[in-house]
Amino acid sequence: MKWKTKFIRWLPWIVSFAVAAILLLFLGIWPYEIADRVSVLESINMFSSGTPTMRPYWNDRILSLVGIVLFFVVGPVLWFSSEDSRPDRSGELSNGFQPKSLMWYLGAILTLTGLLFGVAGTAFQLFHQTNIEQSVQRSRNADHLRQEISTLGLQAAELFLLPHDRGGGNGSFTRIPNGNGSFHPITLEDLEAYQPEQLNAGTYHLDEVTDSTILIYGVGTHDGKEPDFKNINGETGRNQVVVLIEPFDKIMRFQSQLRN
Amino acid sequence: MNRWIWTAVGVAAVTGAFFIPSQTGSIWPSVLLSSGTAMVFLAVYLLGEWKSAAGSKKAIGVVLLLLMLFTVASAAIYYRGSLQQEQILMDIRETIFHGIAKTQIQEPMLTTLREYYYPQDERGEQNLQEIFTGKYGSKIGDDDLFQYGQDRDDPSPMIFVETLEPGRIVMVGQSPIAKGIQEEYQNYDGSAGLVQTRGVLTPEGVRYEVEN
Repeated sequence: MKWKTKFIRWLPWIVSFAVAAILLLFLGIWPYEIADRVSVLESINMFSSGTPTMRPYWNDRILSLVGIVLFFVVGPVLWFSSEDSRPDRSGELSNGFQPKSLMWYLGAILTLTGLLFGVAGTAFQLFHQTNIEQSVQRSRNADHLRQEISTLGLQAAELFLLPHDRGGGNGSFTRIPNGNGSFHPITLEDLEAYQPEQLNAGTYHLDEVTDSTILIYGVGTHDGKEPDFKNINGETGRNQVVVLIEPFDKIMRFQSQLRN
Repeated sequence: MNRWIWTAVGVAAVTGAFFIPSQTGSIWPSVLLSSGTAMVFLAVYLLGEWKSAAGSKKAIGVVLLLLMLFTVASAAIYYRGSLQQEQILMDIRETIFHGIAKTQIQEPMLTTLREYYYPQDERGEQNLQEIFTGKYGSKIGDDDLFQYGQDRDDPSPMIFVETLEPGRIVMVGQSPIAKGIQEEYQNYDGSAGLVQTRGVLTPEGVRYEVEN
């Protein structure tokens, strides 16, 4: 049958591809993965100590060089040069099978392993980096929320402590002077740092204002851990951080039970 | 040309290119330079052998072209990922510094301000310097380093008490590692270009700003 003959002709390729696919699972010498791994180690060292270690990582360097030599030089040259290019197919057996040399198989397996690493590595890294990017954006937003809410919280504590003649509450959140002898409970607008157009991490809300304590909520621009979380401003699933300001006690405390 | 000569030339070129960059520091220059050399080698090899190729040999040639394409893509994506990772860790470092520095400067200042306006001490009214020294004097080293809860062996960030006056207290926070806005900025401890913040406490309140 024609298809049987074609299949037999392509059998060496199929076998080589299958072996390459198996090697993909066990060989760890894709040079770019090795370089990425070493880079991560160095980045962690920099994070901890501030200076690169200047270690040569010889094992990893030699391994990556071996990978480059095998996948991009030895494999392709052996495979390409070992292939029979006679157009009359005079080397074929009666059933259509064309015997291949050991060098052909070695070259094919190495080259196809490199190709599979390239394809799989590209796809995996793209997927992985997209996930990391989303996670980083979420964490970055949460960090900025904490920074901005800390600034607001510490300023609120300062306003609480300052006496009336310096514009403060004189030990109260509910007696912030209006300037005409009357008073009002603290609002975010009383805080110099509350410039909504400059607070990029999210929106902020004051709640549970008592004489001695306030809660400041920050709702972020990115999603938090729980998609069903009910945010203070009516949204759902966004990053949220909350601080309790209690100037006569610990001044400022983050409320983990109210965060997302 | 004989296959073994081609192989020898390819191995020599790739290996030589690998060892041109310095072997300490980042591994990427070696990997990228030798990969680029390998791609050039493969292109030259295919161009040299293509004319004499026929049938299934050309099919192998197409596979080799795909190999080159995916190799370039893979190298670019992994390299970009490495650079991103490095930047993410530096950003985290800077964020941690700002969070800790703000707290370690402003909380002692607000506590001092609280005692200034609402004295709990039996001695009654004291100035800012007397209050701060009474509460935190034991945490200030000879080098002005303020150990607010951290281990002296790992002062991250470094908080210094620059000024202690009856009506004014100034504290400076400096990262030992994170780079600031200006490379040439002179830091408090003599370093250059690192992130630095400053808090100033007076009876009017606390002023806090990022200096670099």
